[in-house]
Amino acid sequence: MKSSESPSVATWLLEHFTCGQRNDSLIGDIIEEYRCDRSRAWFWKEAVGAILVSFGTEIRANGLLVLRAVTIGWATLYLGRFLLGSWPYMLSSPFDRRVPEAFDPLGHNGFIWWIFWIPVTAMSGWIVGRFHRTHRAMVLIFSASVLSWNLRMLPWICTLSIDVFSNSRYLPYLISNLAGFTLPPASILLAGLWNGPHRNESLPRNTWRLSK
Amino acid sequence: MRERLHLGSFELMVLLAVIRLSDEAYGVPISREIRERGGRTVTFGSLYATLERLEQKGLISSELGEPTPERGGRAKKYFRVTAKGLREVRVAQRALQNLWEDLPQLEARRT
Repeated sequence: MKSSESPSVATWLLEHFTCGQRNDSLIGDIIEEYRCDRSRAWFWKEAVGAILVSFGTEIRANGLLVLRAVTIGWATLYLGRFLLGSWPYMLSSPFDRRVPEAFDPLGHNGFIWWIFWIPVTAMSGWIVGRFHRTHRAMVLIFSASVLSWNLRMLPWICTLSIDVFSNSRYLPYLISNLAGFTLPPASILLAGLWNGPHRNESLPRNTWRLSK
Repeated sequence: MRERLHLGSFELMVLLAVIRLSDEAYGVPISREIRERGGRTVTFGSLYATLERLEQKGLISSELGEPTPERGGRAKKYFRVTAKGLREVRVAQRALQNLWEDLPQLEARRT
């Protein structure tokens, strides 16, 4: 029997993204089998498979919760976008209604926008996670919906990736677009899971780890 | 009239593995039993989804065991077939036996 620890990232993903009553015993079974001479690749395959199955089961069993999670998340994003989008106007001259360049998300100095926008996306993820503490997959579903919406940026990102080879002035635009593509779903996911994993806390797991 | 559940082939395999293992029926031995005797590799994710479905149908029941160190301190979940589950297995067995009987193509190959 192997004495090595199971891959920590895969275990973390399992703890956070498999839901329902099966969570703890399922992870325990995967760890037990892994320690009987299974490879890390096998562990990862099992982890991803378990997460996908759990994800599918959640969607099938809780259609209304999925709708609620996505609605709450997007409503928070729109509210944040509205509040964030209105205050640059307040700073500018009442006679000049153009958005300052720093607040154009896809512009040269777009990173300034992302500094303000990422906390808003994180907040939406946190709220979805808070409302669905026993259904962690809802955070993943909301994050996936934002990522799907961001897919519309892909052709533009591809064009910029080609253009940046001929002219380096496109680089800030490319970075800004890549940030816009990846950071909101990632921040939603991380903030949504900040509420802590859903599992049976009565099991003295840490005691076992220390005694090994 | 009693409602029929119509077990899927994988559900039947899982039920048979649970019956065979008796008191030792938890995730790891069940998956080994299906792999070694049933010749089918199964991931724990899909195995647990099936076990959960069978439990919802009332064909199996489960109880948590003690946490053990080789499982990272996580408890085993033991499964047991209920009377309803046994009845459904017998119904499936009879149905399959009836279908297998007197298959001319298979008889020809046997000789």
